[in-house]
Amino acid sequence: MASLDVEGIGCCVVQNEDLIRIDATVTSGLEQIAKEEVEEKLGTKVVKRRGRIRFDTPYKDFAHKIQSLRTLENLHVVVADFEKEGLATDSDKDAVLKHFYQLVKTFDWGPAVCAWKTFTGAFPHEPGPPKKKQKIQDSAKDTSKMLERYENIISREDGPDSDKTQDEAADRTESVLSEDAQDSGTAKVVTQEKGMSKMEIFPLQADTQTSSGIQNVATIVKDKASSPCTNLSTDGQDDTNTVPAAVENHGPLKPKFRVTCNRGGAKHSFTSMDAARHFGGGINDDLGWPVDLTKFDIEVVLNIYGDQVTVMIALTKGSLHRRNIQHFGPTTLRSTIVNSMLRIANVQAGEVICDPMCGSGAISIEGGLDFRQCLHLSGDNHECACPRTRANIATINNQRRRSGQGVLPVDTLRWDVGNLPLRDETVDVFITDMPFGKRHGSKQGNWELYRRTVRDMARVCRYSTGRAVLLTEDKKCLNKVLTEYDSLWSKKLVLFIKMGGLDAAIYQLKRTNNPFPKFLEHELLSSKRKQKKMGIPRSERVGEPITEQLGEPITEQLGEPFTEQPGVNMGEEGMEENFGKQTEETPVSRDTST
Amino acid sequence: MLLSFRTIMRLLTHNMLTSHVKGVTNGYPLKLQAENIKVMSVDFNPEFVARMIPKLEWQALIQAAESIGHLGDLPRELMPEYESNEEFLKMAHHVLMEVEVIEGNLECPETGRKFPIKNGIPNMLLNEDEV
Repeated sequence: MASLDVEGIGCCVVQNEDLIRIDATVTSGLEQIAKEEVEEKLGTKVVKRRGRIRFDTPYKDFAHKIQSLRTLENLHVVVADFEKEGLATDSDKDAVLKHFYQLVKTFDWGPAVCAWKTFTGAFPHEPGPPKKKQKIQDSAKDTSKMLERYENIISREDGPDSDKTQDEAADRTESVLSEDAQDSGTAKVVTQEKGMSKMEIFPLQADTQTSSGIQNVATIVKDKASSPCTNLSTDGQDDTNTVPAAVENHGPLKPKFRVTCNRGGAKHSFTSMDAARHFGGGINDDLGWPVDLTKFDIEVVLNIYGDQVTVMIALTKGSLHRRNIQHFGPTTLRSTIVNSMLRIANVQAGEVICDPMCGSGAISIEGGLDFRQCLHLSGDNHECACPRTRANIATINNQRRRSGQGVLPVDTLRWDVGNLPLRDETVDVFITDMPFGKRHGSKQGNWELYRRTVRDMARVCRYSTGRAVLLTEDKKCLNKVLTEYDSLWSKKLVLFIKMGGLDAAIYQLKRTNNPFPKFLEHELLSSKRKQKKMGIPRSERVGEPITEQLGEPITEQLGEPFTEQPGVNMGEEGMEENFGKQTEETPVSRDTST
Repeated sequence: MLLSFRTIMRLLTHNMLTSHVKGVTNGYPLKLQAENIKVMSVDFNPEFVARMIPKLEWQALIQAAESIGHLGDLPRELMPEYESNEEFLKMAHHVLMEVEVIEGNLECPETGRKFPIKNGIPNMLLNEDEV
């Protein structure tokens, strides 16, 4: 077989009607949402697996179509997918690895490489980014510097086009700021700019993919001395100990590649590194592509799970979840998860969407980009959060202005989530990422915060048509708070997802028809109980109603009938067993005795 | 700070804001005092405008637009069948989404408390004694 050079393939290899198979990773738990999005936008059948989905799509226009998908993170095109019986149990390591080496010849690389070439556009001009991501830390003391930087960006938003180059430089600046309290003493402010000669990077942590739970380790070392393979190179040279000249001095037509191997599901006799090494060796010999682990063009992914082997070529250079945001906060949410939450909320045209704890504004920005027929309000009480959100919005607005598009329909304010300065019944959908209590806030503080949030959201949200989609890791707290306010919010769905190793959950709530009462009975009761505990004599106790005057007896309020049955309503919503746990909660009975 | 900040606060957002100082019963609408106004181009979406209008307090919108001098030809009363009147929708879109207050104050009509617009963002946080 002649060595496969990419230029030679051309598009005539693959016909427009031919189907190519796409495999995409998704945040664990959101496979169903991703499946619905693909089925809606592409109209093809989707197969779900843990942490990934797979579907076929015709070659014609596929690049444009899959780029419109916003809940997927990493995209790959499948070269081969098969089951090798006995792979998990085979103890003869050498034979298995030799088999991997020989596998390369058995595949038809043409369609996949062609698809890769179409998707990524120009080759070989842009090599992939280094595999390990480097987190740059910002000291908390440099808050004022950070705010100043945001000011620049915001003020540039309304500026003339003459400072276009400045805008572009600002956009290219990738400053990942994370205010990690533990490391605040040691870190420095650093920005990494492409195309500039100065680059100071303090590598702190390698980013590890945790969505599938399998360790992502990959090396490809062409170890000629230990390679058990016989001569397989094409020009008939004897290459047991020397590297053929054709591979070493690669011309401009041969893409540099690396193999990434993920292995799991059984105790194989080999490691992922072994498999990657031999498989890569096969590619190097048969296809003639040179190896480069960091500045590669093509990334070949080899997934081994038990007996199942999948070979894919990666289409995206980095995960798609980091789009939209330039200025990251300590707890910025992934754009792919944001999009899933917006889909869960079933946003309609002409609605008001509010994120009362916006942080860096990820939710409102993604909403403003993807659901443009709505008004997106974002707010936060932290002094750094609002400027950061505004800077993110300004960055995107600058880009859009340059390409002739209008600005985003997003507004930012500074407010207190428990006392929103909004009129009653003005917001249709509340979507927010609540503080988990780990990186931000505290578990103790969450009790107070969640109560106030759920309460004021119930006042501002439209009755009976309004909904809320809340993401949190502190499920115990939110569950308890929701049972306290079950006359105002009914739980429609709880979706369990895995976010960076944390077991988070997305709650889909619906606002009931009950009007927001002057004060809530259980709050009054608990405050009286507290005072009793504190030892205040009965005559001096005050009932602490929320907005009503003091000292009003409870008995008057008990007569108020609630029109809707309080309780928990768990809908099935087409969820399948293999992808999320569901809770069964019995309705809480109300204590109506004084 | 040498740089001046821009706030982007649309009249549509202003229409929903109210004063939430403790004890205030008539905190809506907030009086808008603008020192600097900018008109930005926003994609016109007739369906969005038609659906937002019933959710607004029209008189409050008229007042606010007038106070900053950007009322234009917008009618003071909502006419019937405004959803199909493209010209009206365009005018409403302009007033709601494209006129943006850059610097100024929001004043509570009852207490007179001013919510400043600082660093590009209206600051609606209350002090300890006002909660």
